[in-house]
Amino acid sequence: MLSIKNLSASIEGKEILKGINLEVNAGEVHAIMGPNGSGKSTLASVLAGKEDYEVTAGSVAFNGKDLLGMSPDARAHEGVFLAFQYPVEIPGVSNMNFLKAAINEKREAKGEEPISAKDFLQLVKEKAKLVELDKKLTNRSVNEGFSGGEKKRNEIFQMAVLDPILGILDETDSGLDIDALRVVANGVNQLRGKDKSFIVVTHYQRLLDYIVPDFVHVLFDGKIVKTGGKELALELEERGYDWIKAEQDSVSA
Amino acid sequence: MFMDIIQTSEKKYKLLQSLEGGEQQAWNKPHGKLLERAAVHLDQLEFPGRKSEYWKYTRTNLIANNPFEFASEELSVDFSAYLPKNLDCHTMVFVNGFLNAKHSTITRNEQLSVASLEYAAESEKEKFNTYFGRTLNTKDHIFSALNTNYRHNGAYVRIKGVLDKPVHIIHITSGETTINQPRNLVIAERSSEAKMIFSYLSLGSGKTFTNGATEIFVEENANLSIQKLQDFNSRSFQQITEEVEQASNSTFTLNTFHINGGWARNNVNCALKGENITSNLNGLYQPQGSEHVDNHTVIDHLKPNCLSNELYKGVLNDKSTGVFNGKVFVRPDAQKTNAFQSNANILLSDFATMNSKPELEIYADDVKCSHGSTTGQFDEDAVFYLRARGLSETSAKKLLVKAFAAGVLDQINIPQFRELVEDLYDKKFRMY
Repeated sequence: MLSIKNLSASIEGKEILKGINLEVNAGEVHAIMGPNGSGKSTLASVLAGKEDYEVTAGSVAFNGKDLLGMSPDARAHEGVFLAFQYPVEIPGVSNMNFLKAAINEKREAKGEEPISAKDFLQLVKEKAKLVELDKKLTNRSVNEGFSGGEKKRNEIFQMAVLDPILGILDETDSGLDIDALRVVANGVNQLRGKDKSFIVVTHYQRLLDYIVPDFVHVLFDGKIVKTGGKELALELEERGYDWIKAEQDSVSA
Repeated sequence: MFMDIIQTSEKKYKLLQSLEGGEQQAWNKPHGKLLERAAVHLDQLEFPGRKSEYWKYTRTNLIANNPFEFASEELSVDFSAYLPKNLDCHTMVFVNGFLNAKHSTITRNEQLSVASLEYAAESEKEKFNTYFGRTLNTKDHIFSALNTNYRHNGAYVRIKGVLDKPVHIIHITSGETTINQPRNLVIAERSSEAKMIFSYLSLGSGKTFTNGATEIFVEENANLSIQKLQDFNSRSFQQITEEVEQASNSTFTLNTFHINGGWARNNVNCALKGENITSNLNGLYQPQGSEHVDNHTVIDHLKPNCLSNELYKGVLNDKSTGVFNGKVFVRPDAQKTNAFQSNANILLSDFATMNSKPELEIYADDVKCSHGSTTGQFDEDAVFYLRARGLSETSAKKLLVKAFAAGVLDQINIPQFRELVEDLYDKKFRMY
């Protein structure tokens, strides 16, 4: 589904990604772990199309199409969803209104009919339950006055409503307590399927107890330096990232 | 005798030369005295230039140095787009100063008078003479002197009790080089409650000049709210002054919506002449292209315990320019004044310019006053967030503009009018 080849990207002249290679097939969950500054969030942002970053080399194919050539909204229409690490508050823009507009723009792009008010309300009700998002939060402005946990649940709620085929979770677990974590993880797990894929970017292994990955990749200094199964995450939890750094130093020496 | 003064002095401005012979004729003796005074003032005043603080960012030379003419009556006009849907109003329509009888309903009963000024000058002589010209300052302001001295016409609205439906006064300017001088007088009597809409429109693409003046008196315990809409073409000029006098325990709200218009200048002046008065002035402008929108307000707190609120918001695109100047006076007697003012602006392009200046002159010591002014761009993170969900850049920015404007639109107390304004702005909005 997703084929990243030799992807390099920089921001304000500083190179962050230095040649990423990654293949994600349909139905797979890939975890990306790594120390701070390794480029985890950059990878997520570049895949979503954030314009602050400049792609300096490489390609990304999404179901055979050139993802990097698409605008952020076109990527969303293709089925990419980014759950933000720091979801922004947008006062005055209603959660419901903007989601409905998002659904309809995707439908329009595909030549489909817009969603009916009734169907939309039904959809929202169903998905809000999935992440235990209180009804009154759905009626509010996007993330306005939401706690950290509520913001993250709102991300998963939106993902559930928009039904993407590739979900990218950018440190969705950061700042969450164990209960919020469980709710968020449960929401994601409910969305897993053989035609859907997930890239879970995380610093800590904890989330991966709940969202069990098929593959774990370690990102270090802008490159994927190690790939393994879910046990790799446990090893990182035990040993930290220093041994990875040591390994890299000895390789370059 | 005053006619001699006019004849012998040299007309320095092309505008005044072109208007010769268009002086307003007196409807009664007191009116005549006002005209006399205005003629003298007009002769003494100059069209302001850059050195005038009050007109620093808004050039008047294109009006002063160009000829305009009073137009004739135009009978077939289509302004249906500006009638809020499903809203029954007492409506009066003036086209180039002529009352359009077909679309106007004249009302005269104890509770409500809606008539032309000329009619009221005769039929409600005493009231008319008590109020007309009492508050409009022609001595210091040339546009007000111009309005008074030359042909003017408009609505006389006197309200008693609680009105059942809103009063909608529509002033239309049409023609090629027309000058139109709407002049209105609104008297909200003691304890009355009313909603009004003033629409200032231009039809056609001619280069016209609308110079309006409205005197508004809100008597004790009365509650008057006015929605004002301006929609005119990019070649035209609109200068409108509202002078408001409020008595104790009254509430007054004026919401100004500039939809389209090449050069617009609004002056709203409120004198709070009693205690426990509430004054709300709100405005929204979304200029594009080379449009220029200037909103000036003056709120004068003369007595204790009054509250004034101002919220003006702008969304400026292309090379448009905007001005906001809000002056608040708190006089020595005006203890326990609460005066709040806010001007917020979004610039959608690198070439748009906003000049925003709050002015507070506080002479009392037990008051709560605040003013805030912001001019910035959209939060790029918010735009990306919405786009990452599938909204196009245009849709995302449109949504954010709507959210921004909502603060002012929420002040409209006539839902059908709000819908109309939102539609008009929607039609106007486009991406840079």
